[in-house]
Amino acid sequence: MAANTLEFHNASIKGIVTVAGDKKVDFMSSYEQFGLSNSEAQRLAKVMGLSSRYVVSGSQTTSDLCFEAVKKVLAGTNTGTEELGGIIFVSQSPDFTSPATAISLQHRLGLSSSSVCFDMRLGCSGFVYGLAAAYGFIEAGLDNILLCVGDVASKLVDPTDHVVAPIMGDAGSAILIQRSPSHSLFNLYSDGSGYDSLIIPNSGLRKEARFSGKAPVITMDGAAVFNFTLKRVPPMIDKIMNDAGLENNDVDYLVMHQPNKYMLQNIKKKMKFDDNKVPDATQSVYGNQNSASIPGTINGFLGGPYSSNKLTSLVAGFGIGLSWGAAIITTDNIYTPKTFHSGE
Amino acid sequence: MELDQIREVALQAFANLKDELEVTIDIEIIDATNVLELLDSMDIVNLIMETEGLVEAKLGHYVALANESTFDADGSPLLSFGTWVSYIVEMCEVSYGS
Repeated sequence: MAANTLEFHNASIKGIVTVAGDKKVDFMSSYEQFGLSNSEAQRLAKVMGLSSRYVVSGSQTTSDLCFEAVKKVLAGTNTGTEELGGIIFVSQSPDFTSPATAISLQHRLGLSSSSVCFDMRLGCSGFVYGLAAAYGFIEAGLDNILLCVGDVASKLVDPTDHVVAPIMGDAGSAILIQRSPSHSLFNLYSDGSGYDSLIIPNSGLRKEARFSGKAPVITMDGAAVFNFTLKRVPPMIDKIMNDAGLENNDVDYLVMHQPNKYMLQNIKKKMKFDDNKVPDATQSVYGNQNSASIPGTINGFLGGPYSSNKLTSLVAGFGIGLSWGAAIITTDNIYTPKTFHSGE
Repeated sequence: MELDQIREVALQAFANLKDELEVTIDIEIIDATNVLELLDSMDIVNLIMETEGLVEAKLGHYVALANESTFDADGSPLLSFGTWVSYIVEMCEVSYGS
């Protein structure tokens, strides 16, 4: 087995809940705040597929959205906190740089002090990485573990940056993973040479002269990220399909991170997947939900099929790091209600 | 499609977008025109989308024209209009092959 290939036989998802921000922002009603003209806004809307997004209206943090999602996923799956062995929290917007937000969540949710709780600092690949880590803990002995993923990215942007600010949505997802026979395969990748393609400068201890005086907000080299995505994602999908011995027809859904409609269309067509197997509307409706974009897409658009069928899915996340990963997972009638909005 | 047909399609894409592009194109597009320098990144994606749509209408199937070198300062097929047209021809041939 290749170094980046992980295989599991005893872990599966029992439920997924996503809580998005409570405030809807229509792009064509808000473009002026980014200094865009009407024609520029229309151009952006067309190319990026921008329509609306949901952000938090108050001081909610990512862990607040995840807290709401956890409550709902536990209630929906009739699972008690005493059954949980731990929490993995994946986000770029933790409550504090330190301590880990997962540990605060342990206390807020009332989990036992013998639970395993830690953070992972990843963005758009975070769901796939977090799921692999969660499956690993189940495989190694835990019966149930929570994976919390998401970001309140609207607070990590320069509100006048028309490249980044209009695309970011806020969301937190809670995924309950249980011990149960199920085969899954993961391929995970990293390339730190592109660390500055998508970066929050001056947000840690390292100071680089080129970022001197820049605010700690998300800064993106759009062209580099575009090239990265089209270079890395199609071969990744190809490889995991080959590793799993699957053809396109064997996969019920290809659920990718949702950066923009064009990229998803390009990858979908290149990989020759049918349109109805590859959801691509999440960015247009909810905004870029970062590490919550894959569970957010399932709750937002595929709740029906996932809650009433046994499905084989290929999930693929890619972005900041640079980091990317894919997994083939099987789910069987899991709890997947429609995306909630904070406070509902 | 032949080279001349592709050239026509590629020029048509520019014409279709002339009111949408960020820059006003007041020069004649010739083989030596550096498209990557002429347009900003959003317009490049817009141009690719438009060209893909026109090619699909002609061929009856989708041909992906963006790839990992689209914005590569050294290797982008958009470094000149001539190489862009040749690249589209190549991608169409590959799509027939597959």
